[in-house]
Amino acid sequence: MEGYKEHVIVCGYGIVGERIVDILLEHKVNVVVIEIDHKKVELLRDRGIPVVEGDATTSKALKEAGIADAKAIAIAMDDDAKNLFATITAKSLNENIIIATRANDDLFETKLTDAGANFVATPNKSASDELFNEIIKGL
Amino acid sequence: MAELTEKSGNVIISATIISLIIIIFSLIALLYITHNIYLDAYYIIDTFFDAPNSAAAGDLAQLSLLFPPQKLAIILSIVIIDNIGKLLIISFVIAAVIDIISYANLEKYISAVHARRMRDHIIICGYNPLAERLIRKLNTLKKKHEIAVIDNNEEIVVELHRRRIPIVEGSFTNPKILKLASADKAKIIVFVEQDDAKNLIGVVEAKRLNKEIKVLVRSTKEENMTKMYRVGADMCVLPEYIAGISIGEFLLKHTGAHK
Repeated sequence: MEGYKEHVIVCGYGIVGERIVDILLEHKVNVVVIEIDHKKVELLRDRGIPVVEGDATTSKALKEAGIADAKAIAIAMDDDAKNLFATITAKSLNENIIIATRANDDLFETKLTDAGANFVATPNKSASDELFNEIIKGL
Repeated sequence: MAELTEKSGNVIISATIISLIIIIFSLIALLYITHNIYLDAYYIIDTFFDAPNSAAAGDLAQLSLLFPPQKLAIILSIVIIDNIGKLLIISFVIAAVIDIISYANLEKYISAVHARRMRDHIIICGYNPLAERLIRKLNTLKKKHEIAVIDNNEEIVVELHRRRIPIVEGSFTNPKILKLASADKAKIIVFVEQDDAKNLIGVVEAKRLNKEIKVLVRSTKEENMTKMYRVGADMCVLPEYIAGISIGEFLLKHTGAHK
């Protein structure tokens, strides 16, 4: 993705990825998405969002998205193992990049931090906290 | 449990049908030789209750007194085949009974009975990392509350039995399954599946069974939240949506876009 500098790469355009892209675009941040699903790639192209079609765990896709010149990367795929893989690959291609990712499983939270992630969001953690507080109110 | 009873019921019905076929076949075969229906009927019913002994031709002496020697060999053969069939049916029924009371099924039965007796409890529909986290947190409370889980994944059912967590096997969109988990007497029900449509059906069915129940539900899309509230949910959480926002805000802060 030529011509992009200091941009943010978003890996995976699922529920989490879509929300991240929306927030970043609202604040006029340059975004490049890496997505493996062709239908979603078409959707992103229709919306005029720069997109690389490919697997975000591979150096090829990350390089194509301009990882060397990117400021940050959001790794938001459904699969924790893939997120870990992409974190390691991203860090090896750009030592200074800021990495934010997600973990579904508790065990991956520390693994992702150890691999170089600066921020790990755990959807289940925040949701279970909310549900727990609501349950206590009802007991 | 309902499936188990149904399975065992089918086995017993099949065994009854097969035994009736064998009895009728034996009666016709013996009648063709002896021409005495009363004697044949008596003998077949009598041997049915004495199958193991008859199959081994233990009552040869009795037979030799009843029938002429020239017909004895053929009658004895029919009786032996007849009783081997009966032995197979008996084994079939015994296997079904053993299946019911086998260890795994006994655990299922105990779990189902436990769930059926619960009152003012918490039901968790769907077992996944979110459910696991929630149960762990609930178990840290000083005052313990009974929890029942509903899930249709066989591996999860076995795992929860091992961990002594009451589980009802089946789909929570099915009102019969919800009733087996005593949703009609529960205080709170939580739907945590990653399938909004299933959760929505679950909310509708739970509210239909118990108007007083507090319903908490997970949704993956913001647009589905209003639907959940419309059908009676008291609270709806969006784990993926929240995660997206937190990652987005972190990036805005650290890329300098968010002052």
